[in-house]
Parts: sequence; C-alpha cells; structure tokens
Amino acid sequence: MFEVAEQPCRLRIRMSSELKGIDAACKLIGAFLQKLCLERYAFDVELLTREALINAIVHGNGNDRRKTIQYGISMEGDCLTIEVEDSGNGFNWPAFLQREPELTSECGRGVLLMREYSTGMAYNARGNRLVLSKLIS
Amino acid sequence: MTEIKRVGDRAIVKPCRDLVASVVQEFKKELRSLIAEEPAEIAIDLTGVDMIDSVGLGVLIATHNSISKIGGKLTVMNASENIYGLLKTMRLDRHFGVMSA
Repeated sequence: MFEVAEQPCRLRIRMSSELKGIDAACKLIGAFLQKLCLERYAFDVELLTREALINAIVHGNGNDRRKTIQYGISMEGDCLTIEVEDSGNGFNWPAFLQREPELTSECGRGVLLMREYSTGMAYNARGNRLVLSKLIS
Repeated sequence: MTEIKRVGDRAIVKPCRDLVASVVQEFKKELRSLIAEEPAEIAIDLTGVDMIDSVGLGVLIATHNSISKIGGKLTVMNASENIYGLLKTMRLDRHFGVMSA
C-alpha cells in the first residue's frame, strides 16, 4: 500500500512497512519541496524523513508489512513540520533520547541524526508518533 | 552496479548508488567479500552518491571496524558537500579519512 494526498502546502502518505517505500516517499517529498522553492532544504528534509521512517518501519512496526505508517509534511509560516506515526506499541523514548552511540557502534545513530538536522523533535507519550520541525530562514 | 578497481593492495570501490536502508545490504556484502581479500586500503568513492542514511553510515563503520582488525584502513573520497557535512557532524572523520569532492 502506498497512498498519497497532496495539497499546496501539505503532503500526506499512508504506506505499508517496507523500506522501498521510503525511497518512493522521498521522491515525492523532493518534488513537494521544489514546488515550494525549498530545494536548499532537500537533503536535510530527506535525511529526517528517512530516519523517522526507518525507525517507524523497523522498530515501530517490526518490519511487519501488514502494519501501516502515516507520514505527513507541511509548511506553515517559517516552519516545515514532519509527522510520522507507526502502528506499534511505542517505546520508552525519554530513556532512549539520552543515549549516545559508541563511536565504533554500527547502529543507533538515527535519533542522533534527527536531533542534529531538525530544529525540534517530539514524541507523543506512547512513543509511536514523532513530530520533527525545521525552521526555514 | 558497484565498480571495484584494484590497484596493488588498494581497492577503490564506487557504489554508484545512494547508501540507504533499502539497498545498502547488497553493498555491505560486496565490501565483506573485498575485506576477505585483506587489502591494505579500501577507498570508497562517493561520486554520484547523493544520500547516506544511518544504515549506510553503519556499513561504513562496519567496514572501518573490519579492515582495522586486519591492519588495513578505510578512506572515503569525493563526498558531496552535504555528505561531507554529514560525516563530519557524526564525527566519522575521526575514524577514517574523509575527502570532499
């Protein structure tokens, strides 16, 4: 499943939990940013999108293709907002956010990347919905 | 898709695709096979690579860890401005050589 709904300043995608869906979503998001003349943010937004979706697919939905993910990106004022919600049970994000990966660790950099490349990052209490913001200058 | 060129005991590897979760496992396998040949250096040429996500970064670190164990080294070259910035931000330039395009 891969469903798209687009408005001038908002793009919504409902997709099944498959990594190849991330690539399809990123193509649409690149075109969406181009329409808003925000190409200069394309790398940062794609990276944020990829990390949020990887976590939703792999950790949130446990790679279960039957489980869906809701993705949204919108532009309002001087802020781009990315929202990702998975169908999983959530996780103990306050504990997780304090972790720093070991320098030679081969995994565990997704959250750190999102922290570095976003202006703001917030989970709901359950931990299955993430909102990332990116201020546009 | 990956281009591998051997020059003496050095291997230059050009993935020719983005190093992202959906496709990077195949590249990881290719690198593992290459490490089994025990080269002195693996140089990954990022020409044409526009995106690396955390899974792709994990593959670079795994390669660095494996080749270091056998006394070799990893270098990354021709990184785009964005990817060079990403590797610096994640402090990976402290582990292996990173050269911009």
